[in-house]
Amino acid sequence: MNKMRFLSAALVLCFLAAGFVVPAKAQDFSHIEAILERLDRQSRFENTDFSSVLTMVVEDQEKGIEKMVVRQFRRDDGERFLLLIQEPITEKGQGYLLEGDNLWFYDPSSRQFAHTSLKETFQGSDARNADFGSNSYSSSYEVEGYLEGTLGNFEVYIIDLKAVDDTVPFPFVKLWVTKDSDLVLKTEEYSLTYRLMRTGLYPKYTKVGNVVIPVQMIFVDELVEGNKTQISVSEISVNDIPDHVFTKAYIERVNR
Amino acid sequence: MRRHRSFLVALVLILGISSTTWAMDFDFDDLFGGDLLVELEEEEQIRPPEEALLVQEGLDVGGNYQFSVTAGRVYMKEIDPMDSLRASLGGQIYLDARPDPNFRVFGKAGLSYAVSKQVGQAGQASDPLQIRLQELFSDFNYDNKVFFRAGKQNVKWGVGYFFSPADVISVGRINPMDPEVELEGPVALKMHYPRGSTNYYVYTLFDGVEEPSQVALAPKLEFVLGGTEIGVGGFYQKDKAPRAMLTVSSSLGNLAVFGEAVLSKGSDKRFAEAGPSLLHPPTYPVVEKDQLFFHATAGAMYNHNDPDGLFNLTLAGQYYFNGEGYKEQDDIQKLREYYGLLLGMAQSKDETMKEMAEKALEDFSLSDMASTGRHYLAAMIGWSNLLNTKLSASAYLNANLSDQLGMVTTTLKLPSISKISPSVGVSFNYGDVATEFGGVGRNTTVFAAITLGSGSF
Repeated sequence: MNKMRFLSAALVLCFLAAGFVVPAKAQDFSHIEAILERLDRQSRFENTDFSSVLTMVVEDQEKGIEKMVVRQFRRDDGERFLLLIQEPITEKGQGYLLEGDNLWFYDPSSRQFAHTSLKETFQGSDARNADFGSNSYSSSYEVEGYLEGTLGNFEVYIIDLKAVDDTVPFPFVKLWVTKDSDLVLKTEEYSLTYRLMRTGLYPKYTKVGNVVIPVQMIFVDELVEGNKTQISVSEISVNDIPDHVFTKAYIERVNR
Repeated sequence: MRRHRSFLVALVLILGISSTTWAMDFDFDDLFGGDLLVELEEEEQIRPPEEALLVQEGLDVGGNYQFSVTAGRVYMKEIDPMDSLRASLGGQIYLDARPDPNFRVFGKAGLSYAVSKQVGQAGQASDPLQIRLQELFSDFNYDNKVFFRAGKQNVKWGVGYFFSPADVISVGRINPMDPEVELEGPVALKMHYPRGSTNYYVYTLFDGVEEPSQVALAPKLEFVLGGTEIGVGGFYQKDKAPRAMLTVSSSLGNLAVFGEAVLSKGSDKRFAEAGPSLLHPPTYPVVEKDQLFFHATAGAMYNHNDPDGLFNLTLAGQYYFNGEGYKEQDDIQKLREYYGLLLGMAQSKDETMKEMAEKALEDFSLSDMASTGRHYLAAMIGWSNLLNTKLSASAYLNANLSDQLGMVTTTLKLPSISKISPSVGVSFNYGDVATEFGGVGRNTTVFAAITLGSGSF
């Protein structure tokens, strides 16, 4: 009897799971795709530059708790960003310079720039290099399905996405997006085998001109219990940043 | 494919139905219970942030400190094992002054103290404290468009990890068994004109210069093509072999790939010529060559982060074709044997023999006997937190493929306690006596090391 119940339950789950995915071709996802486009648009600084200070608290079961302070300069027109590590002292001066498809990591001890990948984790934290630029949900993913639900006090769309190119760190993503304000509250990122790798939580945002950016982010490593990174954003500025900042020369100048 | 995916999702749901995500530890009602949008107060800033990073009041002082003790036992065929104990004490200190966003002066010195007694050739003890200037330069610019760095400075021209024939201007050379050690740079004026992702450089080099005609020039251009960065450069100095170089670095998925090619007219090395026997007469001719020499190298590096943390691996490998290497290794082996003979004769009690050997040794340059193979291969594997433990392991290989010889070092880092970091390892070489890595013959060293209170400040 118990075996029958288990089989029935498994069949129901299979139906649920299949039903969760199969409608991908049948349903009209245009309103969800429009949401993704709005998410991308409202994360991009089209006509202004952006700079801020990121304070990251990295909790690692092996290494303990480490604080990291990073100065960020961003120019979305031209896909540029510069991240300069200010703390801890052992990593001070290390920097990441992005320009289009090219990302360089600068090591001040060897005074060498090395090509690196946007997909890599940032300085051993649970954040990734790709987390520091604008979103590309509408161009890098296709909608596989969605549900409606609630998260905390907010009604949300829970959207399943599948990567259409290899520029993003994870092939499958699930987004919790508020229905009334198009804000991503939560993300779950999955491996090719659909294993949950990382959860992102975005409880606070601020509006800068037409752009809405998260000012508090929590990335939880779902593979190792207790590993997580909390990021808070401060010293926000949308003043123009001189061109020479987004150069190798600037990184060399600010370094010790 | 979709069916396969559905099956996977179903499987995950069935098998993982009772499992939890670590994010569930958060109280979502609390986290997402209030206003999502917050106002951030704008802080008054005296300087724009990009300028604030370029100035500071007073001097910034920092550096690092290292103290380690290594005990080793060397095993050689037909010789009793030899024990050694070596203590290494040293560090670096830097000073950084930034009175103005457009001007800074930076200096860095390395200190090392020979803990073990040091005795020179003549029997007198040398000064155990060694201080060397590693960098001393100033930064200034023209209208934030052309950037200058003048003085002794570390420079990394090439893109190779273990070998970098394109790095024609660094004074130091990469040690493939310890490739991340800081290299000594030249005394130079660097002019850097960045334009988007394209960078134009001109180095004017002053090392060893006694008259204007000896000043060396090295221009370089870096540009990107898709996701690949390409560097093209050259080196010219009177009485030295002129060189042209090309570097490429890119990514293939998660694999970082890099390559270098160098063409030189002539060589700064001298070459041993096959000829007379070693002892009659006791000389061995070396000659200069002015033909075209070609060097090429290619390699890759891969970081693997295991989802379960069991196999966090770093893998790197690089092949190097050395155009200045010997086709026939016998010639250079005989030169090394001859050099060994002269070193022995220099210790002789026979004054005539000693004088003759010392005179002959004056003509020798150790650089003539380094990097003499045509084909090299270097590789490393690093395994951090192996199998989710606090142990980390690494292995390095540097092989001269032309002569079937090489060196291997394996190290196991044990868990640190406070600032005490122990490690154990084995290193060995393979190859005949008097080959590049053979030295006095095959040997195996077992070592245990401990670093005490080392760190940066």
